[in-house]
Amino acid sequence: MLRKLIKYEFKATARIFLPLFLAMLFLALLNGLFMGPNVGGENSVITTLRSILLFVYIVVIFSLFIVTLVITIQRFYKNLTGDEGYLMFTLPVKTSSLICSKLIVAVIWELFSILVTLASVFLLFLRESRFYGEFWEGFSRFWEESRRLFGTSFEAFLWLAAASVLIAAVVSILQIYTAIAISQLFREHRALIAIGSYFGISIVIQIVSSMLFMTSFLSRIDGLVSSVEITAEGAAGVAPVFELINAVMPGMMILDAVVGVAFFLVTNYIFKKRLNLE
Amino acid sequence: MEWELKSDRPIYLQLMEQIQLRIVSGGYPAGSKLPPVRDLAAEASVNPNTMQKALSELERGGLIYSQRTSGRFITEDEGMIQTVKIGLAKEQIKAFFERMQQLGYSKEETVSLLEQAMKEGK
Amino acid sequence: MQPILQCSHLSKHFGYLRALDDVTFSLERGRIIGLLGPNGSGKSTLIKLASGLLVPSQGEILVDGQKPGLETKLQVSYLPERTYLNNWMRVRDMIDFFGDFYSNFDKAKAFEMLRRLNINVRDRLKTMSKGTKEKVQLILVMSRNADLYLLDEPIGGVDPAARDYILNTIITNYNENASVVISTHLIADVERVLDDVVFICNGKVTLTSSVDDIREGQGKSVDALFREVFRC
Repeated sequence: MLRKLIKYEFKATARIFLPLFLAMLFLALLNGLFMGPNVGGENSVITTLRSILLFVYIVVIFSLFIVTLVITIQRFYKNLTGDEGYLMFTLPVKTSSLICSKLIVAVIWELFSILVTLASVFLLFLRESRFYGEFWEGFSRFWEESRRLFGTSFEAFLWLAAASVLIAAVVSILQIYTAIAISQLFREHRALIAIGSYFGISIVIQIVSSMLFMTSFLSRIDGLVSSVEITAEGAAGVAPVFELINAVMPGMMILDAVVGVAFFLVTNYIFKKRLNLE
Repeated sequence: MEWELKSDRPIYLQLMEQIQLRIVSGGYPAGSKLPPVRDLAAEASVNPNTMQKALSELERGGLIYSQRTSGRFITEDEGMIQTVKIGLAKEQIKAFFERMQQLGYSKEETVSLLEQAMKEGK
Repeated sequence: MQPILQCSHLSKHFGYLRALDDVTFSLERGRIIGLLGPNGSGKSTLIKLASGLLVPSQGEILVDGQKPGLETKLQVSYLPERTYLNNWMRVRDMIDFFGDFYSNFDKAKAFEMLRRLNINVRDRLKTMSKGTKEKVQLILVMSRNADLYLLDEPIGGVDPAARDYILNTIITNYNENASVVISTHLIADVERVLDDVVFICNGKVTLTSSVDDIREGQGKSVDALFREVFRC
């Protein structure tokens, strides 16, 4: 049933995202066509057009990320706690599947938004084909240099960074879900309570994590930093910097994941046992 | 013929009466097949259970019989239909006399009024 | 046979409000049951408990012997007071949706009922009137071969023609093994189709009876009895 829920969630959201993605790529393409070095010369009409196009393109990029956030909130709030909730919560599916389907689809759109934005940037240099070669060259050089300097720890760092970005994305969405779920425990001013809970949760997490950081991590970091200083004198150079980061990152990720699981459990509990649709 | 039902008497009794009326007036001819319960219920806008009850009661009286596979039929016994018809007519007459009595007419006076009305009607 | 719905000492509180208070009764299969009571008497709360939208505070509610959950949600077909249709969908999408999630949904039946109402399945729900949407929703709910239909105020605020259509749809579409619960405060409009009634007032069940027993035993319509019992 989770697969079917995901299918419908995609159907409900694709009609907004796909046109936006297309618009963005199309605008990037237009910008690319007008941005070449010899296009239009000193023609003022072309110059104006060029700046307008660039402006619209940037606006679309910003709106895409706002829309991603709004849709994430709206699909959860409206579809589960509004009138449509009467349909969703009487389907023969588990409450956890409902939450998971929303979460998975929201994360996927978030990733796609980033990817499409990056792809559109490449389209901007359409008329300067040299750019692609230079970019690739620079990138490969950077890659090799980094690997030579930092060894395998650099690669590990990239993987860890990607994983932690993903976890952070999931947890931040779950925080929104939890705030909405908490608002359902009250009979009035639900929207306001949801916003309040969101910031409340943020503050609590800030306090707790900084306390944890102070007490446990700092001591460990001291040890690691001193080891860096010793080896830094050696030929390995700055390689241990990444070893240091790599050592700390899994701990942060686990902490993040624990918070995420807690968010999920709270949301699931409220929707399962304390649900009271308007 | 429309189904007329009131809410202060059991619906199945009223359905029985109206089906009987249809049978004696030839609306449902002797030996013909009755529509399915569901269709009858929908036509009268009543619960199929209620229609079912009315039909079973009529079956017990013998005016309707059912064949397991092919449904319900009106009895082929014209005599029985005639008997029911006379019974219904007698009920009507009895009720009529009662109402006339309430107006203060004796049976004899009522009959002479009837005869007078029939002559005027011609 | 096991009752299709069984409540024992069922209570539901919202804070200090006792929406349902120690309710015990059961409903048989194959009946059309009126859940009758004034506004705010606890009708919707009872229906939401049976459909699994609410969890009891105390006591127990069983659908076909089971607590509301995945299994019973497949058996129960629920028509809420609100329209829950996704506005961006077409009627056909909604039918596919029901077909996907409910194995007992009869698509052919739904298409036939829509055709008779001249509703185009390619129409978007956004463009439809409130009345048409309510009919589409009723068709979706009644096209499921469920064991228990829970209809919350299906005839509240509709015109007489629509009311007749709705009642006819209900009586022609349930099967002999299923029961239909119709909650309403408009008793005169529905009493012709009811087998049994449950009177509910201030969260308590005050009477459960067959409709014929009321008419034969008391010589009055359910509507008249209701007006007597709930006189203000």
